[in-house]
Order: sequence, then C-alpha cells, then structure tokens
Amino acid sequence: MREELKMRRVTALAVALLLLAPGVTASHAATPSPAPTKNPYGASVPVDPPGPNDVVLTVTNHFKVIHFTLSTLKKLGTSQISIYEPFARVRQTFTVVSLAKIFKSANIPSSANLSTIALNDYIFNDTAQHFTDSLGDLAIARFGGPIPYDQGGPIRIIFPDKTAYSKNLSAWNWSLSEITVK
Amino acid sequence: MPESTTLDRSVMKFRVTIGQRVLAALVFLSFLALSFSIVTTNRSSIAESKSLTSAEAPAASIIFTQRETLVYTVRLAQWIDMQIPRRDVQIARALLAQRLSVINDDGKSVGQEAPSAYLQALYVLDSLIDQSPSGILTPVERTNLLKVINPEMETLIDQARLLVTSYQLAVDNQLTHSAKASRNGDFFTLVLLILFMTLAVSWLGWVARTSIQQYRRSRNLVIAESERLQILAAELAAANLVVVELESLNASKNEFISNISHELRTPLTSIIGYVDVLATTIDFGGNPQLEEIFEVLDRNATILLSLVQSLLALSLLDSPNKRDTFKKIDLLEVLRDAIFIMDAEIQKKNITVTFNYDENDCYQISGDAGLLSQATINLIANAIKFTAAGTTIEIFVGRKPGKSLRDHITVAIADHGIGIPEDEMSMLFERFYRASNAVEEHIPGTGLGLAIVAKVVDFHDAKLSIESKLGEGTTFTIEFLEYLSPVEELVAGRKYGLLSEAIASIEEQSPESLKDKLHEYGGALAFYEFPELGEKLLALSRSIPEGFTGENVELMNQRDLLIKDMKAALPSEDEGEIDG
Repeated sequence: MREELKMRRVTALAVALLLLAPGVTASHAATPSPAPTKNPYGASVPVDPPGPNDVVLTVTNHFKVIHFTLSTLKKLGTSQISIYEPFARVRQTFTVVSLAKIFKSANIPSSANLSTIALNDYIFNDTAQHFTDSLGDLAIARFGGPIPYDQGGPIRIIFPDKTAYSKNLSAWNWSLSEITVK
Repeated sequence: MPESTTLDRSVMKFRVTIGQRVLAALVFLSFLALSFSIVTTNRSSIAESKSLTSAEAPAASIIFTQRETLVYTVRLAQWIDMQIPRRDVQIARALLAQRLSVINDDGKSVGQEAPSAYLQALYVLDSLIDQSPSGILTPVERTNLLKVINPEMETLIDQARLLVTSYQLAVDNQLTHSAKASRNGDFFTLVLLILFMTLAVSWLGWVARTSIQQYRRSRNLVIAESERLQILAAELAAANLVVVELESLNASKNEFISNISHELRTPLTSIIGYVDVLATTIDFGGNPQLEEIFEVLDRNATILLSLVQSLLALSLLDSPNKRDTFKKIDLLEVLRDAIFIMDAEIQKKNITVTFNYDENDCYQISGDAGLLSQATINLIANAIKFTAAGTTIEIFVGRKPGKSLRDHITVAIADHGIGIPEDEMSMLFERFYRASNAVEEHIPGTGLGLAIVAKVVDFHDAKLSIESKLGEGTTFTIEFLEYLSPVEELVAGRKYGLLSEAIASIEEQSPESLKDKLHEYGGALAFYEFPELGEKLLALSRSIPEGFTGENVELMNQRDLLIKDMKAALPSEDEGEIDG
C-alpha cells in the first residue's frame, strides 16, 4: 500500500514536470537575445570580426597616436544604449564607449576640429564639442555580440535619440577606423 | 405730393435686376471655385515638393553606393595587383553591402532598386574571392584570376553607373509628372481666374451701366419735375393774380352792393313811411281796390327793403372783416331784442314764444352784436313765417360743458312749421335758395336769410345744425364758445396744467410714495374744479396702506384706471374750437 502511494506520487510529479516543461521552454524562448541580422546583400562568407587585440581605432592628436583595440576600448568603460538605428530603421541595443571618454584619453579638447575616417575612407569633419554635445558614442557591440562589417562594424559612431545629431546621418560614421585632430 | 415722393424714391433707390443678381451669384461661385482650385493647386505643389524632397534621399544613397562600388573595385584591383590581402577586399565588399542595405525614406534600400546585373556581378566576384586563397595573391594566382575577374569588374562599374542613370530617369519621370500635374492644375486655375475676371468685369460693367442709366433717368426725371414745378409755379402765380383780381372784383362788387343797398334803403324807407302815412290818412271811401293797391305797395316795398337789408348784410360779411369789432355779448339780451323786434309779427299770427334758460347762469360770448342780432332775427322770422298761426315757437339757451377750457353756449330756435325736405338740407344755406315746399306754399322770402345766418355763425367760429321733420317743424341750433376774460382763461389754464402735472407725477411715482402724492393732488384737484377726480384720488390714497410697496395688484390697477380718467378730463388738441 505504501509502495503504491509512493508510486502514485512519483507518477504525479512526473506528469506535473511534463506539463510544466513546455511552458518553461516557451517562456525561455519568449525572451531570446536577438541574433545578429544577416545583410541580404552581403557576401556568402562573412568577414571575420577583429580579434580582441586587433587595432580597430587609431586616434591621432597631432604627434600623439593612440591605437585602440576592442579590449582597450572596453577598459575605458562601456554602457548599454538602445537607439533608433536610422539606416536599418529599427531599434537596436548597442554596447558603447562614450566619445567623450575617448577624447579625454587622447587629450583632445572640445574645441578641436576632428576628422572621423571610415574603413572605406569616408570622412566626416566636425568639432569635438559637437560630438560630445550630442552625447556621441562609439558602438563596439550590438545585442551583446560583435557588429558585422556588412552592418557598419566592427565599431561605429552613434547618437542617442532626440539629440542634435540623431538626425544628422552624415555624422553617423560606420566602420570607423580613425579619429584625427586636424 | 405723392408724385414727388415717387420721384424721390426713384432717384435714391438703386435697383438690381434679376439678371444682375444671377450674374453676381455666378461671380461668387466662380470665386469659390477659383479659391478652391488655388488651395488644391497649392496642396498639390506642397505634395510634389515633399515627393521631390524624398527623391533626394535615394540620390545620396545611390551616390554613396557608386562610391562604395568604386572603392570595392579599387580594392579588388589592388588585391589583383598583389598589394593588399584578400581580407581588405572582403571588408570593402562588406561596407558596400552595408551601403546597399540602407533603407531610404521610401522604405526601400538601394539594393532593392539595383539592377539584377549589378547584384549578379557582385555575387560572381564574391564567389571568385571566396575560392581564392587568403592573404596576398601569388603571381600565378593573379594571372588566373585576372582573366575572369576583369569582365565582372567592368560589368560592376557599368552597372554602378546605370544605378545613377536609372535614378536620374526616375527623378526625371517624377519631375515630368509633377510638372504635368502642376501645369494641369495651373491651367485649370488660370481658366477659372479668367472666368472669374470675365464674370466680375461683366457684372461690374452691367451694374455700372445700369447705375448710369438710372442716374440719367433720375436726372431727367428731376429736370422734368423741376420744369413741371416751374410751370406749376408760373400757373400758381397766374392763379394768384387771378385771385387777387377776383378778390378786387369781389371787393368792388361788395362795395357796389353796399353802396347801392345804402342808396336804395334810404328812399325805400322813405317810400314805406309815406305809404304808411298815406294809408292811415287817406279815406278810401269804400274803395276796396284802392286800399288793396296800398297794401300791395306796402308789402312789396317792405319785401324790397328786407332784400336790400339782406344784401347789405351779406356784402358786409363778405368783405374782409376784422374781429376787432368783437366784444362781450350777452346772448339773452340779443335774443330778447330780436323777440321784441319781431313781436308785431308774433302777435299778428297769434304765436306763443317760449324762452327757456337757466336764470342763474350767464350766457356770454365774444362776437359782433349787430351781426348776431341779424342772425337771430332771421331765424325767429323764419320760425314765425313757417309756423302756423296760433302755435308755439320755442327758444332755448343752455350751456354744454366742452372738452376745452371754455364751455359751449347753445341757442336753439324751434318751430312747428312745414319742415324741410331732407335732400334739401345741404343747399339751405346757399344764397337765394328756397325750400321747395316753401315755394309751393307761397310763403314769401328772399332766400338770403339763412345764408346770412350761416355767414354770421361761421364768422363767430360757431357751429350751426338743423333738425327737421316734414310737417312737424324745424330746429336751428347754434353752438358758440363761451366768453372768458383773460383772468378766467389763466385760471382755466392753471386748472388743466395742474391736472397734467398730477397725471405725470402719479404715473412716475414709486409705489412707496404713491399714497402721499394721491393725497396731495387729490386735495388740489378738488379745489381746482375737479371735485370728482379729486375725491377719487383721495379715496384711493386712503385705501393704500402705510408702507405700501406695490405688491397689491388691485390697488395698482385702480391707480391706472384713475390715470385714464384724469387723461380723459384733459382738453382735446382742438381746444377753443367747435367741431363742424
């Protein structure tokens, strides 16, 4: 009798676990971390992202040149920011290092005239003040993962919503490689 | 006068015809359509501007895409020339892919709009790159790749160029479409503007022409009216001259009749006197024929004298009399004298004359004693003439309170004679007119007596009325205004002034002080010959309680009725005159 009762309890527990299992699975699937989107016009074989010690950004302040890797950039301090990405026209969450910190680390004054240069040699010139006034950030990751080259990676300049440069798309320099004080 | 009123209206009033109203409505409608068209065109222009603005964004993307394509082909060329590793080419390719995926304002990316040949070339190159070894190419690899990669690179560059061309075509098409739409809209607006302007100008022209026509017509009417007035003025002046001439002639006639009458009366009086003397001194000696001759002579001479006297009286009344001969007259005296004068005739016909009046009253009027005497004698003489022998003539004098400062004094003389036919009443006062039954009855008369009476009555602003029944008799009534001395007139004026003041004061008085005012004016009016009204005011004052605030509607209604009675007691506008 006692054995029978024990069996019934074990069976009930198993049934309950079986019933709960899909719910647990479903609730887990409801909040997945967004997978990186694939660029429909990208090459079939994607470009490998830079390694943690590969130089991704070179900041030149006259005679002073600083090479930043993703690791050294992270050391400056990162934060998460969700913005409306104006080129893909969707909300995206980025891991960013504020440009103010980068300028500070390179001793770039707010009055300095800068050139931001991309891997494809696209250049945007402006003062450091304007970048920092619009709370400009350097995005180093998106949804927690590296930003693919064919989606503006590996690092890119972004601006929070409702700032002066949030609508000035020329300033959103993607695949950034250099910042140079002129 | 009505003609001039019509003329004024025609001059002053601007008339809009039905056609002009219809045209004005069309002008208004075309204006509405034009406004609507302008608003619509503007909206279209704004929409087109937005459309063109949105077309600019793809332009930037396309230019960048072309640039990225060139960068990519440069990197390819550098890779083929063994200057850079494959990774740099792949990065350039990745950046080009990023550019192709940028979504523009129209919701599409350049990649979606790109020609398939362009994308095909990209994918062929991708395949070639993927199959190549990483790092920098070796000369052998370079040679092998060069053959296959060059045509694809050329295709890519050509297709990149086509990107811009196709975009330019799209923009050109859009611009052409916009221009066409704008042109159509502008054309429609222009048509509406021309329509509106045409209608408006037509309407204004029409109205202006009508106004000018109306002005001219009115001016002509004014000129015509002015000419007519001038003619009328000339006619009036001529008529005035005629009137003056006629007045002069009438005055001459009156003077002539007066002179003739005077001249005739003297010898006639003498003739009548001598006839009387002869009739009483001559012994007819039983010659009845001679006696009859004397009687006829005496009667006709008397008639002739009466006629002369009547003519003299009428001529005097016709002349421009002045009332400065008026003085205070006691009507009782005038009537007593007339009865006395006619006493012989009265006795002759054995007629009884009753003379009724209030002995305590005084019947005074303002007038001419001679004329009044003449009129009363004529009326009594008529009564005697038409009354059968042995009957009665009634004379009545009385007072009738009038709605004026002064009372009316009434004199009525009634006979019991043959009466006057009703249809002849209106002609009775015409000169030489005699009632038909009087003529038939052979009752002597000149037909001037009543004409003189009417003249005298008119001269005294009095009123003459007749009541008559055939076979029963006739009553002549004259209504005079009572004589008032200046002091009496002043008192009467004050009396009515007080009444007016009382009415105004009671009407305007607030209910709180109504009791006092009624008491005050009640006492005063009772003193100034309005005892009844005064008593009513005092009675109402007594019935109003202390501290009255008008809440009692019945009392307020009584007040209103009292005011009505007071107003009724006021003299009428025609104060001092007798109707008729």
